Amino acid sequence: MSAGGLHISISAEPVAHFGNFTVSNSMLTSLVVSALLITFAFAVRFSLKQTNRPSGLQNFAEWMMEGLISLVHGVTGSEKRTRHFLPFVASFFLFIMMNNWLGLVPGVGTIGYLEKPEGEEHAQLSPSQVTLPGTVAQASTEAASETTTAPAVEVVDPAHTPAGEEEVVGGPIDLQVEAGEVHEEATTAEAEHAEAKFVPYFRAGTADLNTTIALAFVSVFMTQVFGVMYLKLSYFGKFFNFSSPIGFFVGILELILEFAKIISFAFRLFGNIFAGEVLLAVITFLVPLVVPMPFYGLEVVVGVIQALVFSMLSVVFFNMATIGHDDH
Amino acid sequence: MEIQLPQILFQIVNFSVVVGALTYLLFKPVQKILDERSNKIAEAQKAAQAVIEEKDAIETLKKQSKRDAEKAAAAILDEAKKDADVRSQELIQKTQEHGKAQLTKLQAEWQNEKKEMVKELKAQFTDAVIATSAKVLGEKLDSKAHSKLIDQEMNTILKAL
Repeated sequence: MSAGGLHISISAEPVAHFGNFTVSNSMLTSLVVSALLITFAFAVRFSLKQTNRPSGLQNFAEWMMEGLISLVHGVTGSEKRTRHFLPFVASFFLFIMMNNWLGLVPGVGTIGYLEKPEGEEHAQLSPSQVTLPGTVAQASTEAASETTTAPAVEVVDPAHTPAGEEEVVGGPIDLQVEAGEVHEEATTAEAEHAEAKFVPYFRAGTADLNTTIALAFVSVFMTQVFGVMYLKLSYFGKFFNFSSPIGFFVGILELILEFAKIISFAFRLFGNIFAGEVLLAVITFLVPLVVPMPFYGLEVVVGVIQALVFSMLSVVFFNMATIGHDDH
Repeated sequence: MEIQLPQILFQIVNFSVVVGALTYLLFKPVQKILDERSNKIAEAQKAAQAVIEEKDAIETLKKQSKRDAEKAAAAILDEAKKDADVRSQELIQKTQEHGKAQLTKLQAEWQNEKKEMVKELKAQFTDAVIATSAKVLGEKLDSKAHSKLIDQEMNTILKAL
């Protein structure tokens, strides 16, 4: 919640800076998840015993591993491939699921600090109060005083805009504001900026597009690695096929598909998790008691399902990459 | 929505570290334990299969031995029956012979005894009749003639018997 009410931010907020490197709150959550997973792995490693009746942590770890192995083996149908794919698929599943779930822990996204806005870093849109990073709109205005009163949302005055510059694009979102609304908007923005901006310390890792792009990149990169590992250089034959004009174009499509996979993976995961967070924030904002509980339960399930979808798609792509084009 | 390359690189490195740590600390050791247990179970199953096969072989051998024993027992029983029949026939024959001999002997003894008894009875009867007659008649009868007469009467009675 921001000082004014509902706090929803599409991008992760920076919480620290090391030179040019910005640490966002989603990165902190990812680090916490990594630490938790590694601690769990350590605990399992030192509790492992060769026994026919495992119990406690070992029992849980074995149950989890058997489930993941059967999941991967169900797709590959090969012992060798399962052994190769398992570390990545299982890591995807655990990392994404933990990130999704950590976003639901009370305090994540709600405990933070108030930051005084600096210059034009952020703009908060009324009445939704969705925070948009970067310069939201940029336009040429005649009066310098107008821009100083409205630092976050600048305006376009058609009367003073040069020809061809009526609609101005700045940052990811385009805004066109009539001159008559300038003063009102500027006053609102000024009033909001006078307040301190709420920055949560933690945010679900998968609710940040940078994290999901990174995971998607690893998945697609490993697809190529496994393809080369199993098919050697002939793997690239599916991209660079000069046997026929149709084959050539199919190859180009295959190449585009690999990049599309990154976008598809990243936006699917980000969209689902971020939508869940928005849903929870809105429901909690509207009816704070009892009503959000079923939605929290739903998001717990969504967290597992999204982790499973990402992992299963990865293993399917890994497997497809290791099967020769003629074997399809 | 900001896509920042340093953050993406950081997440890639972070995830790679997680993959490495989980593979080294969790996946491989747990998988090793699961494999070892699977091998152990497979070996135990193989041993159990061998024991089952051995048990089946013993069962077959046992059945075969039982059949052989039953055959042998039947043969022995037949032979014993035959022996018993022979012996029982012999015993019956011997018993019959012995009985016949005993009967003959007893019949001979009985005849002798009968003769003796008749003789004795006759003498006693004669004496009694003579004594009675002497008392009745008051005179002494000739015992020889009297005995002769009594013998005649006695023979008549005995024949009638």
